[in-house]
Amino acid sequence: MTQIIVSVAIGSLLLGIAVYWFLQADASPKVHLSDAREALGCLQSTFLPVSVVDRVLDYNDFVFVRRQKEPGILRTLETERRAIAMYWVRHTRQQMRLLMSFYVKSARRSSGLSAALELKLALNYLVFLAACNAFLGLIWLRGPFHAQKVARRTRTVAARFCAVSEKVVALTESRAELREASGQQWPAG
Amino acid sequence: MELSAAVEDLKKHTLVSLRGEIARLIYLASTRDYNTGKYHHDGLALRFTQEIANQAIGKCHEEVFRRVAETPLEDLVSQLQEYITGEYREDEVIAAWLKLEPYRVVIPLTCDPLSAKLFCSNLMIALAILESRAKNRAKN
Repeated sequence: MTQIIVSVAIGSLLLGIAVYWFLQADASPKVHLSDAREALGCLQSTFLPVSVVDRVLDYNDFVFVRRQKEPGILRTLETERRAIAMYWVRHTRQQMRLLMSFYVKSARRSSGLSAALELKLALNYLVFLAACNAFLGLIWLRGPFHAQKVARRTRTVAARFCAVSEKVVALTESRAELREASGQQWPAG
Repeated sequence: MELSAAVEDLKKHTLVSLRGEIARLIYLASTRDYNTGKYHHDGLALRFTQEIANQAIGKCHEEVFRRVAETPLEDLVSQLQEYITGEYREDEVIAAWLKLEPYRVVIPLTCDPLSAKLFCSNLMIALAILESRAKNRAKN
């Protein structure tokens, strides 16, 4: 019985999100291919490389400053790193949202994506949002130096989403080129 | 090809003589014209061209900056201590750096915002640690 209730709840949630995305698709302006390319580039070059985020959340820095026995400096370090971690997660989420909007508002209609690819995108995005919220919650509750594992998970999911998005963007580009070559019009968005 | 030769030349003849990454970073940033973001180095420009010199310094600047930005805090404090005590009076430099925050102008133009934030934050913390150590030394 409990399993049925859980399944129905998850199904309803996914359906609700799908309906929300569908309604949102017409409510706000289209995202252009160039914007999606830019967001993808920004994520791959700035927000997903391992080294910087790992440095921001490096526990050894915390241990070193704690050894100095200066509570004021330790507090400043935690505040600073928390702010940088939040900047990272907010900007990553912003770029991911832009990519998802591109897919919902533009790419889906013009690229003829397969159902499997659509499902992959939607699932990755949902997992990413959940990971982002877990990460934000953790840095608020326990501080930035205890959130490295969740940050890694968030980054892995975002990277996976980017890999699928790369395919979508490439597919949209090639379809647009084909249309251009045959003189067809871009379908109305 | 010319660019890599210019980079090697800069490393071999200029950067190697500077003690520590922070000194190199400050030197490289100081060759930049803040109005245009272009780097100038007469010797390098004479051996290659002005444009190649600009690109070579830019490349070295990015490399050194990346290394400093990714340095663990403990090592950064040591590097900063080495830079300050090697050249100047420690208390003067710490006070000036804390007030003027000159480390903000050593960030390369192409640097991503996340690395820039981490770099400035680390420098600020490292300075605070050096300041507290200096105060403790003065007390004792």
